[in-house]
Amino acid sequence: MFGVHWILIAGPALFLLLFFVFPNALLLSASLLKSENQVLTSKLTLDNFGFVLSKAHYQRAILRTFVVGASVGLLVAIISLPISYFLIRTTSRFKGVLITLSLAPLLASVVVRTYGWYVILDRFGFVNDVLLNFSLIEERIAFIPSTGGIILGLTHALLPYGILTNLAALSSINPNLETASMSLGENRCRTFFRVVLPLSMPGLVASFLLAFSISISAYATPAILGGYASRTIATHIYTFIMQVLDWSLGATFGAILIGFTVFILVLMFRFGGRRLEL
Amino acid sequence: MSLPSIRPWTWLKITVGLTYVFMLAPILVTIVVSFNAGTRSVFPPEGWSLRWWYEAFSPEWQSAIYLTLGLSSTTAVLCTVVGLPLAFGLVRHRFPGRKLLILLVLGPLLLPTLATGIGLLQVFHWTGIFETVGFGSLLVGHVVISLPFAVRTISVSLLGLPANVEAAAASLGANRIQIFWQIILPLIRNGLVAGALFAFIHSFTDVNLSLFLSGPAAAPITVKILGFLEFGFAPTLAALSAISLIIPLLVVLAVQRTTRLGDFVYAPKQP
Amino acid sequence: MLQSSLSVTGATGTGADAPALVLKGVGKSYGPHWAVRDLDIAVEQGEFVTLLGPSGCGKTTTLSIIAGFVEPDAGTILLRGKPLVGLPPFKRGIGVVFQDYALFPHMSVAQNVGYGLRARRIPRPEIDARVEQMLELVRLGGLGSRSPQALSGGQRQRVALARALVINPEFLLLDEPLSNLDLKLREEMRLEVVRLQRQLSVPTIFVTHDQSEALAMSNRIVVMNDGRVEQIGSPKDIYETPANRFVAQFIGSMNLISATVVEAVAAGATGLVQFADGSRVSIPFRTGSQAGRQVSVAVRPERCAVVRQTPKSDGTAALAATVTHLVYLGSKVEIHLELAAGGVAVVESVGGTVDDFEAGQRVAFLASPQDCTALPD
Repeated sequence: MFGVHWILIAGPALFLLLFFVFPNALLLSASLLKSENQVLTSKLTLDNFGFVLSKAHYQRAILRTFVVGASVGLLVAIISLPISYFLIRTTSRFKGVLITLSLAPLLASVVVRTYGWYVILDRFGFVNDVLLNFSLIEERIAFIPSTGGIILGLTHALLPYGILTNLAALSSINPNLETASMSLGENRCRTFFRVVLPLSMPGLVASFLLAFSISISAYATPAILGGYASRTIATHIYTFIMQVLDWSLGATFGAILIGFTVFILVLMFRFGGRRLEL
Repeated sequence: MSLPSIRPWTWLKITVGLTYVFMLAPILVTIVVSFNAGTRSVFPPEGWSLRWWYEAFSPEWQSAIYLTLGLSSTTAVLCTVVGLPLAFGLVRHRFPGRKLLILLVLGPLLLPTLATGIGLLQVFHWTGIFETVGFGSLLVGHVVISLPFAVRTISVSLLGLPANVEAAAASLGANRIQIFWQIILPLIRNGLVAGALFAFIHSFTDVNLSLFLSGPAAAPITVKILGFLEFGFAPTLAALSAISLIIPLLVVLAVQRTTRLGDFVYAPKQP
Repeated sequence: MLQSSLSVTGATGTGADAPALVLKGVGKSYGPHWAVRDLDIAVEQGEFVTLLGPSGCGKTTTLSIIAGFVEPDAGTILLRGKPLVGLPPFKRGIGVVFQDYALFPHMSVAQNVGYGLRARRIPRPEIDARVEQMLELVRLGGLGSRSPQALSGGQRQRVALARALVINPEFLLLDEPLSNLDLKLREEMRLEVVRLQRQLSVPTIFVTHDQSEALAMSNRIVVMNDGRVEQIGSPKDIYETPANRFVAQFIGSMNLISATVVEAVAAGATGLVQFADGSRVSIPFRTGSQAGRQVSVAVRPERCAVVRQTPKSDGTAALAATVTHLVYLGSKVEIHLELAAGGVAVVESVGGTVDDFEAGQRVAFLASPQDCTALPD
């Protein structure tokens, strides 16, 4: 039966099949093809995966990527919960402004937001100047490039996503539950831990997984704050595709990213309270 | 509020204050540094000057800004045009494969943009359309990755249509086409504008996709700044970063004057 | 066009014409469940008919079927003799007022009211004139340029009415239009709606779950339950002679006392029934009954009385009872009883005071036989 909906969705669906599904499928298939002299052949192979998984510096990059992802996810979830709770419950007349301000960083590209961290953390940057001034250190310290720098930068970049996720989850908690808990003799602190925290678990889990999945495929922040010393899967992909022109190895790393992202998505739909709806 | 309850709330306020400092400080530092008189990006600045801003408006950077503006606004318009029928089909109709289509629409939001970028580069490379990299391929990619924002926002506004207004219009003699133009479209105007705006912002701030689809003649400002960062953190780049922050900010402020955006920022209500 | 229809005519059609609307065997199912089934309803010219029933009884579905928002699975619908099934809503010419008014929020009051006329491509000056006239009629003159959001609930209600009426509909459907108003305004709007309907003489179906609304406004009431019609009749018919236990209990409150039919009785005749305590009384039967059948003797609380001692038998039904509790309601007192013959009963006493009786007191429950009806169980 051809209803109105087919007329509405056929065009856009075709567009997405062509320019979203097809490219990703192509990428996955390229990871399974042998590449000779920078040209893909039609030979099926698992060598690409064997190669990247056996080399120590690629192993380190993969490990670093997931350490970064897990740390960023954890930090984003932990830092975004208090501010989200505050924004939901505050009766301040600046509530609207405060919410806007917490989400405003989304208007800036990651590049913009990472630039500031460079100025602050650089060997000749603000923090080193302050520490030297107060004689807390004797020699300048290179905070970046480092894995810690990547974690810091990404946590900063993804915090608004965590706040958005937690705001949505917390806004569905009836404030009377807290009043009820306090009327039953629990103080505000214990009320938070016994009533609010359990109810905000889905939001916390969702913000952890969201930050995790975005940070493992982030490029700009690791490139700026990690440099060549602390490479991640994403920066390796860029090198393979744009500089070494090795499609199959680039695609292989890409496939690893897609695989892990899909794994996280499955977790998100199972434990993060996400439903497949618009 | 009873007395013992004041202290935890104060602690919360302090935590929240520190979080705001953490979130906003690096951005403010970037803006301040762009006015530095010296040649290095240092904070606090060694003096005040507008020289880096003059340099940021050199013809080369100007053309990058115009390209990005053109790319993002075209993306926003196309996402709205493509997103409206999609949202309509998904919200108003139940058909086999609907969940699959939702997955397809949200896909670009869920899967790594980086991978979509490489895949598209391969597609354009092999098929030879859009000369592989450049404005055309950037546009296609940006529409793909920004579409979920438009579809979701328009869906929210469709779901939020007051009950019975369409039935009322029909009982008064309006046919489907009249109902669409006279009732539905005016009532989802906010959603359309907000959807276009979110698509614009997502496109304007994208790095991961543009990274692979930019050509020497066509690179959005974010990718161009990133490229130059390899050669050092010149204060010009701080000024450009500030510009690329100010543009979406101005757009949001302009749109906010006529459209309530707050309704669309939270996750959409489940139908 | 409007002028002619403004002429005041009688409340009900004279029967010179075909009925304004006829529903014959109309049914609608959702899966195995029938939302409505076997509906036979006829509305005369100028008549005001109310569909009354609990929520989920199918009254709103019926209305949606008539308006054309829902296609029926069975039956035919005739509007002045022309079949409606299959016709899209915008070609039916039926005015609809929705529970939430469904005013177009992006249009002014005048634009809302003029919407149906614009859809009919009527020239601008005529639209303006008719809108203004209609706004005067619903007492909203001069408010045309307001936004619907700036109006009170009652005013929005009037706009919705004006919008549905300005197109000179052949039929008017009102879907619980008063339920969002507060009590005082609701009673005021009842009169207003009836006034407009009588003045324009437009045949109307009004949907409500509020029995007092139905009794106060209708020419006839259709009591619905579980997708079916339970009874059709004038407000007085429905209240005085309910067809069955459902109608009896849904409209007003009703004492239902179990009894056994002593000898076979024909429909409309008077027959003897016996209560569990052995006392007998002769009461009217709505439907005929065999001897030995269980029936419920129905009597309204305001038609009964309570006395301290059982009187001598003079044909009055008198049952021994014990007062369980009293409820003071200001203008009246409810005396709740437990009957010796089994079951409970309530008596409304308008003149009496709470002090006359007390809980635990043994009394007699009285009702005149002509106020009682035997309803089949």
